[in-house]
Amino acid sequence: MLKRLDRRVALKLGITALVWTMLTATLGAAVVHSSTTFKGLITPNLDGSLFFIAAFLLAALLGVLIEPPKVLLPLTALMCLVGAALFAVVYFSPSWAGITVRTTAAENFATTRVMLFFALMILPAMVGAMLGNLAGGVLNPRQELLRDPSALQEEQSTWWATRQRRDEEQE
Amino acid sequence: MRLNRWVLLLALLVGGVGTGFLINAISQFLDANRSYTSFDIAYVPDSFTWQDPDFEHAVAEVTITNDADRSVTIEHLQLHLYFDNEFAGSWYEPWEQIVLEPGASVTVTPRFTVTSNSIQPQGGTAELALGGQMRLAYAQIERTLTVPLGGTVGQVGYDGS
Repeated sequence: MLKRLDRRVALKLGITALVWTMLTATLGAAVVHSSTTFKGLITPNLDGSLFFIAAFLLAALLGVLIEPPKVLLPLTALMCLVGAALFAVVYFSPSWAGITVRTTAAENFATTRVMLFFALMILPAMVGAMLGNLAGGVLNPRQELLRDPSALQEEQSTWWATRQRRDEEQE
Repeated sequence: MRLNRWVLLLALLVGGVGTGFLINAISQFLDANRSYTSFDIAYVPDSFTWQDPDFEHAVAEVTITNDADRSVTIEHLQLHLYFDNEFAGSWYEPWEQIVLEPGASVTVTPRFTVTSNSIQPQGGTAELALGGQMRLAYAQIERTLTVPLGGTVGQVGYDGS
């Protein structure tokens, strides 16, 4: 039973990590393709609003998949931070490849841009994550729970239902 | 985690496409940087000359050829002199920016001043090398690119002239 549970938990953690990594890379791609810094160097160079929309939608997708807010919100914040940091990764990739030199001015520029992108994305991402989290309860039919009710104990329900149940138990 | 298979599939699909875009962006950026910084920077052989027996000042010639297919402005050129890979001095004169058309070349004559007094006497016997960086600006892109420079001079003694 414990082994089965561990395997399920490991599988879920693995899928969560995979989805988070891929969505973060997508957010990074949105940041890079909407930044004017890479205009003329990376195509397509899209409108600056792309990363706002991307942060909202990708966080919403994450919110649908990850249920507990105490896990979702830090992961959303981390997604914004790493997504913004991917700007610096792309920016410094020619330096790491030995094509250009990494100057102090470039480091300062990249740092301020990363902080700016993070600050601009965090709000739409948090809103998107919470809306996605609310929508997740509707989207998930929980058919697997209907087939195997014993899994209900292992599966966490939506946060408001968990809190309500806990309050009822305390009463 | 709610493993709704359609949402999961959508997330993986979006994530896969996004990851592809990111990898493509890095590849494009590296290629663009290689293309823009396509330069041939060469030390002109036997052009290095000590100007005094104390090995305090020296001149050399460096040829810069623009192999890229677009004109470039060399905003800044910084050259240092090394004795056996140890910093010895620099070219301290101010640089006046120049524009290089595609295929054009320019020869600059930096005058080095040795400022590391402890190794200055080794000027005639040490293996000399040049190093530094060059900041380039293009009309097509907003940001400037800084490229590394380097060249081996070899051993050069004071010829007394």
